[in-house]
Amino acid sequence: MKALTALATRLDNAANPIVVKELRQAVQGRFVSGLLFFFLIVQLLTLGSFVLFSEHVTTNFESGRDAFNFLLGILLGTCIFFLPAYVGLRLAAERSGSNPDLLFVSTLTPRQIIMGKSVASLILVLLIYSTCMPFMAFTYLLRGIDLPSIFILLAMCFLAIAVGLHLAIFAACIPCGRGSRFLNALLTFGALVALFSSTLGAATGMIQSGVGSWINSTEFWAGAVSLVVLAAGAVGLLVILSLAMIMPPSANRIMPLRIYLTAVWLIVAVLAWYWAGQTGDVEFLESWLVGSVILSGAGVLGSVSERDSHGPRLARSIPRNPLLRTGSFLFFTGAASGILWALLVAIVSFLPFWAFAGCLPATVRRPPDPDLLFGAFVFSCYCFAYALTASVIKRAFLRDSVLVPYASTIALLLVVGGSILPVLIGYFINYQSWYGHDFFSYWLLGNPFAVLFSKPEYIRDAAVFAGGWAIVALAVNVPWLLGQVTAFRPAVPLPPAKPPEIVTPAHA
Amino acid sequence: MKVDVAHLKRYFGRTRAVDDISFSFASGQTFGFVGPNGAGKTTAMRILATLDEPTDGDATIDGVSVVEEPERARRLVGFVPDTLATHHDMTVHDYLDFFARAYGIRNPHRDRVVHSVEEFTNLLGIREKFLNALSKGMKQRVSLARALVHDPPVLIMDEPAAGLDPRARVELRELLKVLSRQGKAILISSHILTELAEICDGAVIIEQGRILRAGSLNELLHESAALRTVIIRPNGRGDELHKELLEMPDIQAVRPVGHELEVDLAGSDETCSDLLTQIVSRGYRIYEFRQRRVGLEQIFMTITKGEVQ
Repeated sequence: MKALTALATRLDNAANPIVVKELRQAVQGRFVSGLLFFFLIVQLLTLGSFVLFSEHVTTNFESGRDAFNFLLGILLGTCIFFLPAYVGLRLAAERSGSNPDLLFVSTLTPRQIIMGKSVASLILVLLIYSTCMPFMAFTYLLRGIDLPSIFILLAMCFLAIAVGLHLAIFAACIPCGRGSRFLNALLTFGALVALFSSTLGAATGMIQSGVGSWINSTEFWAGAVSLVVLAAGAVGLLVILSLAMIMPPSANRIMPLRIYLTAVWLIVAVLAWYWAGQTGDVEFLESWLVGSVILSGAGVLGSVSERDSHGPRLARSIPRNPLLRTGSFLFFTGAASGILWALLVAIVSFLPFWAFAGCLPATVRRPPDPDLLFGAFVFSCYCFAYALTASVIKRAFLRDSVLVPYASTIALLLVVGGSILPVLIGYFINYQSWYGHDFFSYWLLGNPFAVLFSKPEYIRDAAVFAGGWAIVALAVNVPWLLGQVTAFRPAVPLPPAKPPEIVTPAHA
Repeated sequence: MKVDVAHLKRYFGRTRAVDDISFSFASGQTFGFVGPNGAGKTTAMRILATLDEPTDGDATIDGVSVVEEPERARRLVGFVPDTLATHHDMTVHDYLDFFARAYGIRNPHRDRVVHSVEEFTNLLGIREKFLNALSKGMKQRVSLARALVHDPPVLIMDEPAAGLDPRARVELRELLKVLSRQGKAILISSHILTELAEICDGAVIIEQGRILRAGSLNELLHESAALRTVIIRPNGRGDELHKELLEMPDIQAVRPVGHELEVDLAGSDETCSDLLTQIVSRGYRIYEFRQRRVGLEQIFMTITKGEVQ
């Protein structure tokens, strides 16, 4: 008995405080118990109706499938809309300035907070599943669906629900004012609608094609593994982003995100290479390249909004070993480190295709599409050109008037201005002959998205323009980048401070 | 244990909520943080409690920066906000237990700590009540209990007495005295200055984000002593004395209040003594002659203008 008590105490101590709090609130509140009762009633009524009132229940071989479809729709709707709303709104309320006590006056780490919210919300999903699964499994007896299909579809829906919940947690973590809060909620709702409709659509298709019968095929397991990896990747990214949102600004907020993205990017590269070697298909490699271009482009555009100087907290964590320090520079928060990280991602992404084209697995059926490679390269040049120009403008002209977090806005304004203004100017200059104009496309040179839809001749011109601009912008930034690298030095160590001890209050 | 606030600034756009304030207080001291509404008290306190980031400057608690090491600073601070937000579906005991867990206090120690805090703040009788069913006074006690769960050496309290009935206010005052005797450094903001004066060792007076005066209560009273008020109750000939007082060199103003005269006088204790000698030497008989002690409220009213940004 003593051993059991000790084990219970140990488990209790190990439990995440947020999980304990959330589950206690869920048990004591009306929302979750109401939801569970609602499910029980709806399922009883649905199955009861199918059994009692269906005229051809004995001859209809699709009753089970129809009932399952109906119940799955309700389950998905509840878990993709109501549960994320419940979790997200509560977290947003707890994070709001008027409600500081629950999450941010204690020593709970951002990781504990996000993981606690994540685990608690997934436990709620399991609770709801536990009320649904017996009824959904029962639909097998009504015919039209087999048990493997039921469990496969429920597992697939669980993955989609997990993504939806983490999306809501991430949205709740974004610090925003009243106006942007509404926009944030609207965008999140839009994303959830897309997730709901795509999941329900996929589930319906899978039911009709009899997914349970493919369970022994390689395609099924390849698809299942891909889906699990994709969902886990999305959940991981959302967790990392949520963490970055709630970490203190003085912390190295960007490090977990860059490490995660670098790891995923490298793992996918290895998988794509392996896949090309095994199957001879280079589509996966090409997709990886497009993803890399998006990653480096978003990375460089986002990085210019990071700070230029490290506070004492960051300086204390800079490694003393020169080798480690050089490597870690790319993973420390800062505009220069972000730009160099994005540049490295871009270079390493294109290198295998151009420098090591001959090293591609011998089994590939065709070389990667050169137009795609060239277009991706030019797009990447545009991203760097705009971001580096914004960085220069920010430092040279707007140092005092624009806050550091808004430097990315300058880059985006440059993109919008560069895309629209030349076209407008060109239109007014060549008003009479605009549509038949030979050099129509040259007015589009400022538009990075034009390379996605234009002819190869235009892309060559765009490459000269964007490549030249990116090189000039990089050259202008080099002194500053070198200065940032040189300034990346560890702080002088302070004598270790004695951590405060937690003791029983003196009044006890 | 010392709390040092150094050149703290917090700007919201063009509004300078906190504009370069510096002060310090130490263990066993209770400091009042006084200012009109919108003066920047809550903003400064939120920064000290690591709930907000300063635009510039820093504050250290026992050498731990609230900007650079907020996680460590939180171990050292207990923050009592002006209102306890409504948390649904949570009992008082669950709330305190959550914070004990959050501060890493493990069982069986945790149960003892929570029980002792509930006992100290007189919450044992309502520990199973839901938070949203509590009165304002009870919520303030819960808030204080939450701030004490990890036994922090520094307490930051933002308007803890606001909206409390007289009994709850007296109870809170007694709790604060006990905590101060235990050696906690307490920074407390309140608009009830008479009560603040009873429990505080010092005060920081702030307006429009800037510190107007800061120091121990004695220092503040001494600084304000250049202008003092003397109450004189003459035995007849009040009007005559009134006129004569107005002709005397250090007298700023004379106000008849019933049978008494309130005299504003510029100078020191010596000047008061000279005044009494002069009055008596001119043949006036005096029943009562006393200086009115300047309180925190008077200092506050004298040096603040009640302006907001």
